[in-house]
Amino acid sequence: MKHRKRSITDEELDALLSGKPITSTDTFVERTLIKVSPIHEQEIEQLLTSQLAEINPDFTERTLARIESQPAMRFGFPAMRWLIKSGMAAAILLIGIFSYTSWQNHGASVITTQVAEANLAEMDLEELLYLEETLSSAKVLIELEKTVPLYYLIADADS
Amino acid sequence: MEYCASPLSSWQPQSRPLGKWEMSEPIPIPIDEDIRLMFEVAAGDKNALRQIIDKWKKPLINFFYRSLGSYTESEDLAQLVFIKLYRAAERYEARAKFSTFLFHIARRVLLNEFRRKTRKPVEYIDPQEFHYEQSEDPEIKRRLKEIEELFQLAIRKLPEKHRSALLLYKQQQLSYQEIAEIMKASENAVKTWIHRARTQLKTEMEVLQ
Repeated sequence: MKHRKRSITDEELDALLSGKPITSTDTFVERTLIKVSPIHEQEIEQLLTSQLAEINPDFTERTLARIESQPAMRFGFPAMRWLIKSGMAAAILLIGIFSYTSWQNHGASVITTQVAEANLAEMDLEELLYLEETLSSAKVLIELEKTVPLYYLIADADS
Repeated sequence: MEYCASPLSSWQPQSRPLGKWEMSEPIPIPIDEDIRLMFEVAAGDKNALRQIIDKWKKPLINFFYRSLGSYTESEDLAQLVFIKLYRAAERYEARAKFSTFLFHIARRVLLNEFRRKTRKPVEYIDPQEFHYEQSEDPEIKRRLKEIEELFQLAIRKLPEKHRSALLLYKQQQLSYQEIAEIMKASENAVKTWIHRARTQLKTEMEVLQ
């Protein structure tokens, strides 16, 4: 599609100045476009095989300069690349281990919460048995402030 | 012509670990000038690299220009190909023709560029002068120049695979087998892509006309 510049006609200028639309059978676009004649397959072949007339003469020099000036060039060599990859892998592994350890420690941390207070000496046998059952099923460590061994109380009650 | 049974032989700067790749029977590849230059680049010869760039810059820029429609971008991508080529020189093995190796890199660079930009077709065409080798007739040249922009718009509407296959075949004069190697496809697939590209290119040009 080719767009060709052409002089504006008097008719078009008047229309633009007066704001009246141009009354014509063709649209403005149709009248300003010069259409190319049908394209033959042979022409497509020629276009496909055509080459750019010239390449910037300093292309080779610029390319060589770019290759030499690339700071990342040393990382391009296999040994250096292997070192970097290994280093990165080791760093990721260490971060992983550290995170896991931190998480584990966090999970095992002791949380002291006082949930109840009881005077065992004043408790009935049934209450003590219930307490024993509760304690045995509990998965947390409960420190009893002042205790009488449960087995002693139970043994004493049985006797 | 000199033939090399073991592609790198004494040229290989460092041995690679044996793997499935190494166990296969080496295919005799004629040691042409390009392959010899690549070995010299691997050995650190900058002059060899310069010769390779001088010889291949035009085909590469032409290939990229038809795919992108921008001369500046084409130059940039061609430089990227040469950088990658230089980096790969140490590991280079003459398993196929040098042009196959080079355009395999070029296509990967092109695909990366498409992925990076995920661009829509740009309507602006970077105006460049072309040399139409097949015709000396000024009238034909004028006519080709006239439909050049139309052609560039149409070719960029083709799917990447179809366009690359067609350009490698017609513009770079590579064989079906080489294109199949570059594009990691079967020869039949390549033939189909080229046929479809031709048909679609003609249709697109008629539509744009």
